[in-house]
Amino acid sequence: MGLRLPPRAAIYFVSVSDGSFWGVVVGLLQAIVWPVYVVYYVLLGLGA
Amino acid sequence: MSTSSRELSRFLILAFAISWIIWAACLAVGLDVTGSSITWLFAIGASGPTIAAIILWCVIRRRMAGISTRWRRSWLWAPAAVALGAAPIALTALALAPGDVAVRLTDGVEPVVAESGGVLLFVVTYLVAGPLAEEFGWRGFAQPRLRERFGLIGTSVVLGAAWALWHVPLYLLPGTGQSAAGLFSLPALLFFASCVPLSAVFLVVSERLGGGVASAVLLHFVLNVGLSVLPLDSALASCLYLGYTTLIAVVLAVTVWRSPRYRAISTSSPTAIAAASRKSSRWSGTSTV
Repeated sequence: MGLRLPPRAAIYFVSVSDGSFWGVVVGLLQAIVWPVYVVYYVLLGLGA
Repeated sequence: MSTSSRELSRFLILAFAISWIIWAACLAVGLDVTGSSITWLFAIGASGPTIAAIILWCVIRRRMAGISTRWRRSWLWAPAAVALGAAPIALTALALAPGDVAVRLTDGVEPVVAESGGVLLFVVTYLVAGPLAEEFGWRGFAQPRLRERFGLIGTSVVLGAAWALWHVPLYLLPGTGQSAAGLFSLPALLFFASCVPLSAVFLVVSERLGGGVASAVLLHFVLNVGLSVLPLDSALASCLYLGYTTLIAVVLAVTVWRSPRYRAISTSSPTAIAAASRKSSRWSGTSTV
């Protein structure tokens, strides 16, 4: 879990937000823990 | 084996024995442990770590190592304990559905307080069940002894693993919050994993910020209240909770743990405290307690 905000993750999560102020804030919050989403979807894929 | 290692082994054996033997008896009875005649027995089992620490402190007759008597030097531990306890669940709730957080908070507080029987009982229940029942053992007794041998990461991994393992029977006992999820479920796995970064957060607040066991009790209280008011009701929520807890632990390790400013207000190790006690008893001619 990086201490720096990964730019690509931030761009992705902000781009899929609704564009509002809080939407962008939440997108950044999601981006700082982007590996969580990777692990989650991997686990989903494995049927966990 | 050094004195600290021996004391640590004795503590772990005693804490696990008290909790697991009593919980095994509760499991054999088969009743709901949170709302039946065996609730008191379950509560004694849940207090295993603190009971073990008190027994060993009486046996060792040494100053309570780990309980900082120098907390006045830093006022930061109290707001830090509240903020760090609330942060993982608040960030998780925000990342999942920011628009629903206010509604979930207002909807979540009322039933939790009502279930406890009012605000006072809510505070007492949440203060005893978990924080007071465990923290004198984990953070008061075990943590300073582990810190003598290991650094932040080693202490967090060993203590987090012991803390997680100690919780395993709760997933088998009818009536506990954990039993609804099941032992071999993803939320259980993620909870066990979160014990390691949480142990790092506890270590930083109780040691580096000089909060001692009081800060660990407050942090544990806020963590439990947060999880009750905003429960992790999906696998993604559990994943995010682990993610934010890990992120907070890493940020604290890099900033507060390494900072010379906070190192200066750290709690002394048990060996150092024992040495200081021996020295003072030699001068005063009295035995240490």
